Amino acid sequence: VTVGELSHREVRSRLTGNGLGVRFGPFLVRIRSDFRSLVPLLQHLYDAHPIAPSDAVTDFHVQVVASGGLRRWSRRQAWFFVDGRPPFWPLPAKHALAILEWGINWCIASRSHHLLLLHSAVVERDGWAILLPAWPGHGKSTLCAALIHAGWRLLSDEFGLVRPEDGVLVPLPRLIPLKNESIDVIRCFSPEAVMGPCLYGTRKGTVAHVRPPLESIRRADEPAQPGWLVFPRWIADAPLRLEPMAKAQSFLMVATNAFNYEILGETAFRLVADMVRTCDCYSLVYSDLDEAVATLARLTRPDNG
Amino acid sequence: LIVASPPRSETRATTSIYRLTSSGWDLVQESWGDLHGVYQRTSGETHVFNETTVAALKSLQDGAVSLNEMVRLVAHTMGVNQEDLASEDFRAVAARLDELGLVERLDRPPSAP
Repeated sequence: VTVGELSHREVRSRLTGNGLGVRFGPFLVRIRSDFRSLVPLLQHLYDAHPIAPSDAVTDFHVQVVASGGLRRWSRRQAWFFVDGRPPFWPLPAKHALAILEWGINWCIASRSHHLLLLHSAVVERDGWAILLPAWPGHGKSTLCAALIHAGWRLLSDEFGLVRPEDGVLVPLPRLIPLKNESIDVIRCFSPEAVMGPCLYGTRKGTVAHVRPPLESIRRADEPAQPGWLVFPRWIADAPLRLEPMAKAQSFLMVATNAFNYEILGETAFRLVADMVRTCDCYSLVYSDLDEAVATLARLTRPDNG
Repeated sequence: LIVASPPRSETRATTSIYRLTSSGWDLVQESWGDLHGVYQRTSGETHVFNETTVAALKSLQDGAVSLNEMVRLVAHTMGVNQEDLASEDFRAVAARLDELGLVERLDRPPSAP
């Protein structure tokens, strides 16, 4: 059963009851909320995500609830709770979806130390994955959203989940939060992309969430081998430049950009070192999305070395 | 993560004698040509060392050596003439490795109680 197969009433009942148990890749998140506005959004954007049975072991119990007191009536706010505690300040009620998505990412980043968590988008084709590690503002999500609408499978927009046992990449297909100009860029690039509403005035500006292609969610239990490390950087009007990157520099960029490198210690060192050794490493400067997507397609063609 | 950047103003005699500490024996290494990733188990730190620094560590694997002897061994490992290596650089490398707890100086004057 998937979220989209539940009726509006059933989704609402679970959100206000024992929780809507949604599976995101290897994680089971049980969501509770008293926000009616979330019901159609989750039905639409979590459509293909599997529902977990009520007795399944849950990784994160989260809640998005309205503030009490006077705030209930004036300038309503949405609080995010995990295990009954709010890890950060609330947002305006109209940003309930954004705080839920950020909150779930926060849970994964701060509590999932059985996996190495790289800060990277990951897309796959023919079993081999491109990792796109990048700092905020470097165009990672935009490029990732374009690639998954050009034949690549989404493993994750935010987390490169590396399994310590064998170094494979574990899928975590979740919504991709596009910001500001990127929203229209992706609408133009891929008119068929399924997007949530624009959330105006968040701390990151305007945000709209792109739903992963259904195929990516259906194949969320199929890991992929890391094949390429490509460090993207969007620069306005810059000509496209794809250049090999030194292994040492690649290692430093991946390791310093990971969420839990220090926590995993030697395991993380070995996993990143293995990945850098086996992957071809490049930096990619781009301004034109079509050109960048075509370049990555050429780079990863089986007959390209 | 720590990228090794040895201090340049170190002034120690070339007769100083160094040996590996237990931390210096307990390293995980990955080579990327001229640069090496080194994970220090005892501190949980990752270092990026150049070839000379790794050769300096290796020169201590058979026991304590003086700085002069270290230069000679490193020159042999790297296949270069000893005169081509600046002993000043080795003072800096040894001082940095000492700071990281990977080597210790045996002729160091005892510290005040």
